[in-house]
Amino acid sequence: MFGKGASSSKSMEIIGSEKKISVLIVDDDPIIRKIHSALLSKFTKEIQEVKNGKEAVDLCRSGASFDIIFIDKEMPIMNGLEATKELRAMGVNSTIVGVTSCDLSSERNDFIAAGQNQCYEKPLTIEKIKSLLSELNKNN
Amino acid sequence: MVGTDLRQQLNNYIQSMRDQGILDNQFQSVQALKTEENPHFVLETVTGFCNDADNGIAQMTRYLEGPVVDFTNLTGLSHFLRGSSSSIGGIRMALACRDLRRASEANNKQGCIEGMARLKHEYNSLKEGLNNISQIERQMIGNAQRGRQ
Repeated sequence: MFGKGASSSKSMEIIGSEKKISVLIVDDDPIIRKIHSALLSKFTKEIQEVKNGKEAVDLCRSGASFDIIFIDKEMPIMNGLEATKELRAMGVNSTIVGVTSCDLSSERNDFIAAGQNQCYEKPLTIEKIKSLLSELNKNN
Repeated sequence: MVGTDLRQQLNNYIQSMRDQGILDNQFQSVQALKTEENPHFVLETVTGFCNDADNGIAQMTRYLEGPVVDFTNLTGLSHFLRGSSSSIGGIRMALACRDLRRASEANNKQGCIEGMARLKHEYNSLKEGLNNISQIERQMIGNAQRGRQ
């Protein structure tokens, strides 16, 4: 599930350890960005936010790298699936996690086919993040 | 103690909204994000959500009441509000947004009219509750600030 997502060359912060995780939140809704950022700040201080897929792609293209990218599906300018395909084509190997308001069961195949490692239905919760980080630990 | 009374009042009020099905337990998850460093978190989130929802619903009404219904934008905006209402715990509003989106995707004008009416009803209930919660939050923040002076 987390293939070559989190590179061992990056240091990683997981619960109770000294390593740092960097995350990118990609969502057009400022309320979602605010809530998810506050949630993720319980696990890491290295958080950036952008409001659509194009900004995420541009940020990564400029040299920024992240351990985990949380990406909404439906956004203006460039949606989550398009952005994921673009990021993978660029060689971005971050763990990409889709976060959607849609019916997840019908969207899951689209997410995985686009190159995402995991997907969750909104809203993100502490439990979902802990589960995700636990999987990340296991695979590293 | 006043602080404890306000806290209890807030908890009771939130519970009553949960009992009515207006809020689900996600709202408490949002509350848990409030910290000493950011005591205004809940207030800011609620205020931001209501501003977005006010604007969004006004815009959706225009899309629906125009000479030609703009189903595409109506779909997009109902989806947008579904996400933010569910993230704040407004479960009934989120479900109303979901149903409105389905009607809009089907280009069902009558369904959208009914769905819009339901969405407005659910949002008004949620907004009233959130405004009351905000009032208590402001009192709690004010008391805490006075206590530190």
